[in-house]
Amino acid sequence: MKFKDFLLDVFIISCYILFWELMVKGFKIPDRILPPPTAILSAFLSTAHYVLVQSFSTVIVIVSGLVPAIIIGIFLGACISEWKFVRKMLLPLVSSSQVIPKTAIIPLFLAWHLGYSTTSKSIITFLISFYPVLLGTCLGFSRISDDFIFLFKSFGASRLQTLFRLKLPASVPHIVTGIKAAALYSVIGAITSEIFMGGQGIGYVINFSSEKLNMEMTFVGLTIATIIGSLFFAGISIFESTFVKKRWGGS
Amino acid sequence: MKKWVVLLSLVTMVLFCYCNKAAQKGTMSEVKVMLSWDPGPENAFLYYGMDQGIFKKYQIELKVIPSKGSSLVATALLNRTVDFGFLSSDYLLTTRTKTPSLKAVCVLYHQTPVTIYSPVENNIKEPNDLKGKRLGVLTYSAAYPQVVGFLKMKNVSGVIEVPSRASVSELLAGQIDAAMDYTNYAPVLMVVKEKRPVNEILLSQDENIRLYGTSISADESTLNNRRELAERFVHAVLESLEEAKSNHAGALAALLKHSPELDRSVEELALQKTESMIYSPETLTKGVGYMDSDGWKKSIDTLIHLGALNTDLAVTSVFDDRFLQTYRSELK
Repeated sequence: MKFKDFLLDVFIISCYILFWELMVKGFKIPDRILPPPTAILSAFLSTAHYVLVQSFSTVIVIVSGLVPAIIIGIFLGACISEWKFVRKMLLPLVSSSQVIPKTAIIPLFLAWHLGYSTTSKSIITFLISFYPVLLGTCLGFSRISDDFIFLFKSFGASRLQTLFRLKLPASVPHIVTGIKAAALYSVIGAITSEIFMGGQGIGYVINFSSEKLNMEMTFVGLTIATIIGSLFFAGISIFESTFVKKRWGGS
Repeated sequence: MKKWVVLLSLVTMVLFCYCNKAAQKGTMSEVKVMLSWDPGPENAFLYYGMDQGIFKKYQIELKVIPSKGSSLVATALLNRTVDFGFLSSDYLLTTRTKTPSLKAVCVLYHQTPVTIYSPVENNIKEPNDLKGKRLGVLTYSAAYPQVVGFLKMKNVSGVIEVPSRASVSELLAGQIDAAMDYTNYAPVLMVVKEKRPVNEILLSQDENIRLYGTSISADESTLNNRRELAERFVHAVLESLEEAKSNHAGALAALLKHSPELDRSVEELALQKTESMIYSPETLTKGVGYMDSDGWKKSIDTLIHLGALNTDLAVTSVFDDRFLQTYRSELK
């Protein structure tokens, strides 16, 4: 993105914020319904340390859910695409795991001795975010031209050699697209699990402060959640444009 | 050579500091305590005790975990994912019929704090005024069976129960006419934050309702197998309660420090109300956190009377006052 474009984006967002401030003040909308941006900023400044600690907690949940989601998503995707037996065995399980509403299994964590811990939140984040990676991997594998596979066969490459030298590298653009989607889902998963399980994190701040009619803090939480989500997405997009698109030319 | 000596000395110093800190930490025992809900005025003394180093004095590293109601606390206690929990006494009693291993170690509220509140303009001053009105009820709350039993006891029919969060927002939006909650929570929020005076029907005002409110409870195995730790914890809790009593501002500051989401003006009044319940006149003679067979017997009888409990319970099986007694005797 050019610096000029960046400035334009900042200007547009500033206009929205200004409009929001004027609208709230002009129509005298109560803080309980929609607090003005200045009040939200003031709430953030007075609780900055606390909010940052909670944000860190959310980031830990996201990372500890997203990283296994990426590793297991790629592994399962590769296995499902490569071996028919594995596909038969795992696909129904994976598909049904996606149908179950993730928040519905939250009460089970207590019964399973996990408690409302970071582990439980990470599991929810993992369950929500691993599917796009798995789908991306499967899609990547299915798009490889039969000619390439035939070429590898004709050179006498083993199945594992074909997997690691052809299929996995050729699927990278699709896998990265899956990871981008997973990054966004992981933020949703982390925040949702924190809202339901409480304890700590930005989701907890959002839920608790809204229960206490502290809408300024609720909006601080929402803003931080948006920033965290955007940063994760931007990070993976930068990775994609720096390494993936240069080598593979995007998906 | 000199460089290596300096580097080695530095590494040794860092290692020494780390080991020293680890050794200090090693003498502390971690205790997980689960709140019955998100942090609120009834937990202020706990934060105060933490900040004042009272728990540290008893070599306890306290980990406070918020929750979403007594049912979660009870499950966590039974699973031993937490050591102690703030548990509604009526929930403790009703749970004992299914899982007879939870016991109260001290009682915070010696009367039930459950109330039915509504904005004054709704003109709901007594139970009969609820006829034909929409009452917001949190069905999974421990307070719900109390409210249902209370209305039945008062022969109030025609109340429209609206399963909801029974929150101030729903009252303000006109979705419900009245709601149930603890008197030191939502009604205070309504009065202070929204500047809307409220009418309250306090269940404890009825002479037939004699029911302990929130208690601190634990699983029997924790109390027996980790007796020494349990004793230290209960003593630290009681000392924190005593200390917080004489320092309202300090307790409030500790609560707000740990939960900046809370509004100072709301919590100021909420804490005052909470203190009037925790430090009731009886505590002057019996001590804070006290509980006795008579109080628990009345609680059981009240629950049976309200229809929230089907069978009678052996009073001695629901509480364990060993640590309360040792604390009192040490004080003497």
